[in-house]
Amino acid sequence: MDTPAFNDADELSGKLRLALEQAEAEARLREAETPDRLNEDWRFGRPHIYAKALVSALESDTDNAGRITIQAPAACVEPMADDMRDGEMRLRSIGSDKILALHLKRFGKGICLCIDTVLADPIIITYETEGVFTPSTIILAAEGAAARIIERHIVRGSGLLVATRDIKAMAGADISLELEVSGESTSGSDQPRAMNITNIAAMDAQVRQLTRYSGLDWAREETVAEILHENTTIELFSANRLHGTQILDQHTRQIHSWGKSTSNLLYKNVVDGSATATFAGNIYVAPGAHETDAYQANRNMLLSEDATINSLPGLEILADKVRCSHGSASAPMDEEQLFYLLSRGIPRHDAQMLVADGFLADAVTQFRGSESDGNNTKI
Amino acid sequence: MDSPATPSIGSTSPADAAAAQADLTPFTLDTRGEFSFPENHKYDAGYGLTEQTIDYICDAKGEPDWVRRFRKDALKKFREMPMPTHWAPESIRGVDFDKIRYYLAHGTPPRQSWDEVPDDVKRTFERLGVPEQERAFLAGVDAQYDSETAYNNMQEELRKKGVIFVNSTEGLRDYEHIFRPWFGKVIPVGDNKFSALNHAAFSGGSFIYVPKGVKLAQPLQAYFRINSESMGQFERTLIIADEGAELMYMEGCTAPKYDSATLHSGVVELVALKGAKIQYVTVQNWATNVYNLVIQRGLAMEDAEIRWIDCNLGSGLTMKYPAVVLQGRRARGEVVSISLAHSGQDQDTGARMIHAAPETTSNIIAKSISIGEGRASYRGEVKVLKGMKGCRNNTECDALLINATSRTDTYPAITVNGNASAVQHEASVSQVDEEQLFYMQQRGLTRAQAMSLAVNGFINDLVQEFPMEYSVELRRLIDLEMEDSIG
Amino acid sequence: MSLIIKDLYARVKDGAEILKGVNLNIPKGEVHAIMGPNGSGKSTLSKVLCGHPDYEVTGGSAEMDGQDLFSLSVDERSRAGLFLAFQYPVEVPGVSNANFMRAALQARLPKEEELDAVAFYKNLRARMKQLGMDPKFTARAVNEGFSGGEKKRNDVLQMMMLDPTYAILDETDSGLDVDALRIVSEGVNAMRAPYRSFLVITHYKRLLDYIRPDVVHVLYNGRIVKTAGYDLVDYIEEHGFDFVKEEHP
Repeated sequence: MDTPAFNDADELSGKLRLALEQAEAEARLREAETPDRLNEDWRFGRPHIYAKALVSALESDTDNAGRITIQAPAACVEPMADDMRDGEMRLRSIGSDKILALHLKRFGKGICLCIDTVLADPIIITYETEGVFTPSTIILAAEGAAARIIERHIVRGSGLLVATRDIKAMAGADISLELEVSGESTSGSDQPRAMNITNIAAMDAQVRQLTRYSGLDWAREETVAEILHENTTIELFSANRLHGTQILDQHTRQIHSWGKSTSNLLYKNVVDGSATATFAGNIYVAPGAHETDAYQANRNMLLSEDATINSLPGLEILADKVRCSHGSASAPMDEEQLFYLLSRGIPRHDAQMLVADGFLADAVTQFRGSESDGNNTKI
Repeated sequence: MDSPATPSIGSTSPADAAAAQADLTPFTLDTRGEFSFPENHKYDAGYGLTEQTIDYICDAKGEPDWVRRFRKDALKKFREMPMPTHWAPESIRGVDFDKIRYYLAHGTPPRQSWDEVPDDVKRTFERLGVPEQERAFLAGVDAQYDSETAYNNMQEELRKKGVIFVNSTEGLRDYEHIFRPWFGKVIPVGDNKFSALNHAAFSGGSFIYVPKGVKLAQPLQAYFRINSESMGQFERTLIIADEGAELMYMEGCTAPKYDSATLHSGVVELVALKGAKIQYVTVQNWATNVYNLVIQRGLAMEDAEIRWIDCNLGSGLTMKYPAVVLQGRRARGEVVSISLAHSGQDQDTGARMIHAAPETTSNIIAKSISIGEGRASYRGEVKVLKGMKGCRNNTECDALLINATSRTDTYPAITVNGNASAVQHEASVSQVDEEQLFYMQQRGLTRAQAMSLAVNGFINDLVQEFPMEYSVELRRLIDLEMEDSIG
Repeated sequence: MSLIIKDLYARVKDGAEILKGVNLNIPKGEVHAIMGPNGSGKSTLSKVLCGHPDYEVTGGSAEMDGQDLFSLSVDERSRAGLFLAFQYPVEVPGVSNANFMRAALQARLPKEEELDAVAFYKNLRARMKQLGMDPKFTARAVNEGFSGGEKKRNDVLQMMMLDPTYAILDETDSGLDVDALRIVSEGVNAMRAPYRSFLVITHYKRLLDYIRPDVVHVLYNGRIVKTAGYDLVDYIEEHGFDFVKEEHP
């Protein structure tokens, strides 16, 4: 098919581009399949329940119901514009293309941050919903920019959140993102649910993310972090406590497309009640991405007889001079630790809470530690 | 059907075969399989798998009706089930079920002689230091040498102890009451497409029963039981160790093994009853034109132990994940795995441990070496079922990458239910330390020699798990690989 | 008022019997020492008294000021005034020393009462100074990455903070150099009071020279086989435990 040239007619080319994007988005929606049992990325994710429910909610409910508040220097914040759809279309999911395509169809609400300096105070974004909400956060960090961003999501009642995040960090940038997603049930029948798709692209930059989920009936996280130039460090942390019948389903990709860089992941979960935590991670070191350091650790503490964990820490290494390791450990609470606390007169329940929080602490302290290291060198 | 044919490996027409014979490229380890020798099969069920193929197999083997029905039911399942393309390596798409011959057997001893084996192959055997008798067997030539006597002597010894050691046909025909209750129970027909395939087309393999309390000091070896079916591509093995019995079974060899069949899909079932102990040693070195898709699973009852000691050197695509279902309290399972992938090879190996009883323990140690453009993958599953207390698993996977173009993958899947079990998985990827190589080279070793030493050092602890004769050959083989890929 | 142990039998859960009829009476205000060869059951006795889950009591009783010890859970025994300085203090990753101590002290207050944080820190700092501990320790995780001596000191610090009525020191001297041993012993001596008793378990005279016991017991093969005054320490230092082995083959 010949593409006519509209070089001198900006307006026309703009329209054409939009039309093409529209067509691409529609084709994508048509082609994407709802995750099913044969989708390896939903291996323990109960796609027949959750993916289907998400897809039908996004299809039937067109009202993008949510509130956004932001605390940031005005110069950083750009309104969501139609031409940002382009970036959204390039987002990658981990087995949830259909959901991403539906999200894109509802594009419009969210925050775009364009950071080009070193910000001393954290940017705080709060998203709240009781209904079906599909916000997007776009973070563009220019050369040498540095910022801490706290993104909070509050899902009330039986609200459903499907949020996307697109982070691009250029040379010398240093970005910390703390993502807190909490559910607030008011009655026993409430089922707050949340899904997060985050893409990180870093070139000679530092990016770190900490995710924390609480109070949600079901949550799924898909984080795709790609290193596109040497001297990049990406760190991913998560620390969660699950109880009742909660389900947390976390999927990560550490993609090393360029060598001489580092990625590190530490995901920790404490699982109580009849809750289930699933972690499926993958480190991919592309051919030629030599001298890569990549680490991935998933640690779980199981507190009850009906608690379940699934851990799938994967590696795919196609380059040379790679230092790479992964580990997964799942065990009950250490009896000796518990006894030590009890022997000091701390009641059992409190002692368990302390040991469990202590278990999660290093994911948070490592995040904060490298956060301050990073920012110190920049400021 | 008694038509002699001379197809070559990896091709389908006699013309190709002739061409291949005329143009034998010098044999190196990277071009294994690109040669052929004449075949002469009394039984050949032809290409493709149909009800008629199954009737042909059953008639040729003189099997009872229940086996015929069993095979036909399996065929139905095989046709219904999908290929595991959603997780398996890409190259599994190359399997073409219609281009495979499902039953080949020599009615009489094969007519080839040692003289007919290509010189390159002979040289390789010599380089490897394979004993002459073994060489003949491995090259697929007349196997009726001294081993006949050795085999008979051994059978006599075993008979005295009440041990049954026969092939699958004899097992189901002569000892139905012993083998039928467990046959297809550890690995059911519908487990996956390839188990269904094997249930439909199986031939060859070993059926072994060791009675209560009998402990066999000497390993049982597959190649003692040489006959026309022993190298069956749909091999079927069932080993039952009765209460307190102990045995070790060994199959395969480090030397390259040539076969005209391009798909090998065996099923091995182990049953270790209360307090029994089974060790199963495999050394696999098929030519690179072979798809080696094997299902191995053991059932360990109370206080029983099953160990899979597995070494994969050959084939183009291996998919093999030895499993232990820990069915009885305090049962133990172990997989020790070495795999070596050079260019043109996909070694997709691993282990599965299913903790289905309390206080069961399992251990997985897997080491892989990727050379050239080879790809070695570890794929594993560890599962602690609901309500099981005091279970322990420890998994260690280490990968060594020799060249910049080598690839390694690790895909573990761990599921733990409940707060009374502990599961741990550690994996690392590394290269041979350049400083180490420099040090050895400075002392006068060639780079290949230094690399060999380093690689041997990497797998040293696991090689020791293999019986002596295998471990010596394994080391020598690694030397050869290093010479060829670096020297 | 005293700690009275009568005919105590205990074993490792589903395992061998280790305590085979221990009798002990430790009145308020006294310091008792237990010595004995390796494997005689000294550490088992301290763990059984605190309620370690690896052991089970198969017979006998233990009363602390008239209260049945074995009817209480581990934490209840602690709050009732029993303290164990561990032979091997446990590392608790991610839980800071300060939070740990606060939780332990908070648990001793009535439900509605909030621990006075200012007073708490003031007290903690003073005690740490007394024991020669780095103030940064408060923010570090409990015993994590501590040297053997630091762990022992930390346990004694906890004892000072929790102010128990019955304190068991299980080989607190092992892993301490001479200076540390002196500091720790001075700390213990400063805590000697008419309302508090100590049970000091050790192999060596060294510690008992600093913390001079009123009564010395020898535990052998799961039983108290000898009880005497301080002179027994000197005798053992000189002659070893051969005499008990001869008397109780």
